[in-house]
Amino acid sequence: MSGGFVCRYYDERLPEGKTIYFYLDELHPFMACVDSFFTRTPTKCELQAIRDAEVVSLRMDALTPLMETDANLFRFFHSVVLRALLEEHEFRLKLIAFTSYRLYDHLIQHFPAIIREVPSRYIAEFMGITPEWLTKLKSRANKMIDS
Amino acid sequence: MKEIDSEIPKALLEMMLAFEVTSQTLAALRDSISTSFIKNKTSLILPNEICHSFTL
Repeated sequence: MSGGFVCRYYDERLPEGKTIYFYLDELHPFMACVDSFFTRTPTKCELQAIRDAEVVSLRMDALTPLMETDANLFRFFHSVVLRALLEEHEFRLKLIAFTSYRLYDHLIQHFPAIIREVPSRYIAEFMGITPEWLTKLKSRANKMIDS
Repeated sequence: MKEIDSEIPKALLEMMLAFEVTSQTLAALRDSISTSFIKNKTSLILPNEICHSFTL
């Protein structure tokens, strides 16, 4: 994949979508709407490009019979899916456990590509804060870097 | 293998070869892998669609 995407969750009670994850070519490059991919039911999510992107798609209906005949393909798929899900899980733990200050610092230190590539409104949505509060966090972080 | 190289993106091919995926499987996969260009601010998947693909 080249480019970047945000995954946004939609619910009838939400006035608009809410960003729940990011996919960038240099960060978490494997993506699917997992609520739909594994259950074959309609997703509640949207994968929206945040810049021009080129994606390579592997269809589940093509992969499934091949995985039945080639155990190594199954191992590959399992490994990739497991890694992607573990990375998402790890991210969500921090989202729940960290204060917004600490979470923003964590993004700067460990995922600078998100700060650099993802529009601020999606980062604020993901963190569950207002864009104004994100601006304050950014200013604070910039002051810490300058001092 | 040369034909496969030209169809499956190099990074993906290298990952699969590391798992010793057979050349027969790679040849079969070649026909089911598609590459798409998605313009900025457009959607790869929309709510209420069924996600059929694992994408990278």
